[in-house]
Amino acid sequence: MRQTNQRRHHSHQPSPQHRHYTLIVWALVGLLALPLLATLLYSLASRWGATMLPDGLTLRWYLELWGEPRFLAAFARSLLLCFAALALSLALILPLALVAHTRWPWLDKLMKLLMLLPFAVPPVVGSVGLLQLYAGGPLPLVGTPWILIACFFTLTVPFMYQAMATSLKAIPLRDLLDAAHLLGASTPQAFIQVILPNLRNGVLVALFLSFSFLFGEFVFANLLVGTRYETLQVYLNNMRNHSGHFTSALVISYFFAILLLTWMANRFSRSA
Amino acid sequence: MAFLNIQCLHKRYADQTLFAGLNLSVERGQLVSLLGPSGCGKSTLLRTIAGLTDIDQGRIELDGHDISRLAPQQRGIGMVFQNYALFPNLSVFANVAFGLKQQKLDKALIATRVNTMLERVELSAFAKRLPHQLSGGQRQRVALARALVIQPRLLLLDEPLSALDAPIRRSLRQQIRSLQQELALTTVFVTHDQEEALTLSDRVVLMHSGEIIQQGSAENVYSAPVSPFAAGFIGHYNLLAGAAAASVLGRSTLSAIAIRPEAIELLDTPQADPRWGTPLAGRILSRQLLGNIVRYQVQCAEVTLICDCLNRSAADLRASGSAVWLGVLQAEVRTLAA
Ligand SMILES: Nc1ncnc2c1ncn2[C@@H]1O[C@H](COP(=O)(O)OP(=O)(O)OP(=O)(O)O)[C@@H](O)[C@H]1O
Ligand SMILES: [Mg+2]
Repeated sequence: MRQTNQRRHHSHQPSPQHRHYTLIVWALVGLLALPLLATLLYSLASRWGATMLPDGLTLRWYLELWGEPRFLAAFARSLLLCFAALALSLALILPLALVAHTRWPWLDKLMKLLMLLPFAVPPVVGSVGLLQLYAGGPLPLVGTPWILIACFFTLTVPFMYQAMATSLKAIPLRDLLDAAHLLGASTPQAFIQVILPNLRNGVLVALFLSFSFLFGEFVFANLLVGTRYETLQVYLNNMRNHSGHFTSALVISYFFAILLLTWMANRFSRSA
Repeated sequence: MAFLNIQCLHKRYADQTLFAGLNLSVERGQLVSLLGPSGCGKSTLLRTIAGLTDIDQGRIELDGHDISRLAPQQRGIGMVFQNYALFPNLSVFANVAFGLKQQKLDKALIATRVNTMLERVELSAFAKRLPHQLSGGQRQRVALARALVIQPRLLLLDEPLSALDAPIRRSLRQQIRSLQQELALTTVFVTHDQEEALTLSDRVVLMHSGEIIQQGSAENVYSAPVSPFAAGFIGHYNLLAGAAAASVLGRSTLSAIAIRPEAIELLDTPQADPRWGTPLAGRILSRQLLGNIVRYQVQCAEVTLICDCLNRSAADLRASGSAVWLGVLQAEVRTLAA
């Protein structure tokens, strides 16, 4: 892929038309980046009231934010929830994908169907259902982080399963396992030494994607648990009446965390 | 007692019975080719020997012991797959070392044996590369080295050359044969290419829809097909039955006959000869140049025959439409079981 792209670039003289396209693209990027840049500027401004430009620049808001225990706690909770959900997802989906692609192909078809559910049911609708199910009864989970972990897990299923299925379909799975068996490896050994390394890149990308998705999740977190286990997004929502500079610093911090992850995901997918 | 002995093998899939009592034996140190059209069960037979596919009934003996209940890991069989099946995440060296690593051998010993094997297949310079950085022929040699380094009792090759270009195929074929003879390794080689089977093997086994149709030396299978299927699959036999057979033979016959294209002489005059009796009059329909061979289609009364001649000189080539006489070498006419 990359090779053909490179070749195309070499053979292409930068025509005037080409320059137009570049201009349009950059104009769009600038337009899209504008709110973000404004937020960044606002988060760095000491005061920005009646004037065209801020009075002065300061790191005060960031220092305040990163010194705020409630923020740090929310950040830590969000991280914990995401990691727990991803760990659960990995632990359950990986064996499932392996089995679906070696033993029981019908499982693959079933998963393709189940994968649509998180998209088919809007979060608001889903959370109302979950609230009814788990508010009382034998499993009163509403208000605890457990329900969020389970719920976040279901959100990761499409990404994780699809990534694994794609990686598994890209290798001659049966022949690789057969070859490993004939060379003396047991099935678990064969999976660990031969199959899993080939899934690594795909799974990492799916993990990063799911992470950035979950990290920004608000609806389920707010409706199912709310302030009883405040996550980053819920915290941001609760801070909406606080200083705009402060929340801007929060948004920018959040954005950079995600940017970092996206960049890492890109690195991994390119080396795949 | 044969080294590999398959007795009364039964295998059925949900919708079809593939093997119904198949028997096959391979002598120690022999290379046997399984030859047959696509879907006749060659790969399945190989996989049952390796233990990768379950059998319903039957015995598979290797060196006098029944191995049909053993796991693939315990059979001591090396196999090369059509699509190479190299481990994509491992280097050439690690691929070849894989089997020895499972045996938990000493690192230094593994390195020595792997390097020796890589030298044998002329891949020492590529030890650090990943499989996707190799050519098809190089990949297949890695697969071969990987199967051989564990010193298997039996080597199974499933169409190892079919994905390669003709010249590489020929040289690799020779390499496989000389390695096999050097190691005196009992080998089963699956192919659907008759030339490959004929040049390579001590014995050719011809299969058709789960049955063994004919087996024997290459010469025997080539020159004496036992059935219309065998004659149709090997060489470009002229297959004739009924009135057509009678008109070519000059006498009536009940069974079908098969005549190899090179067993028909093209003559300029209707000269009689004890080898072919009275020649048949014919007319050339078309001419096809196959390099050292020229293949003519000749209309001979109601019958169309294919005749091969050596391409000795351009002056000898006959034009389409010209009249010829055909001398059918009587000794080479095969009568087939109906
Ligand atoms: N897992 C399976 N389930 C059902 N049928 C199968 C299975 N594997 C093979 N078959 C059938 O068994 C028959 C023999 O297959 P096999 O792969 O052994 O053929 P082959 O001689 O190796 O053909 P080719 O030259 O195309 O590789 C085919 O008709 C195939 O459809
Ligand atoms: Mg096959």
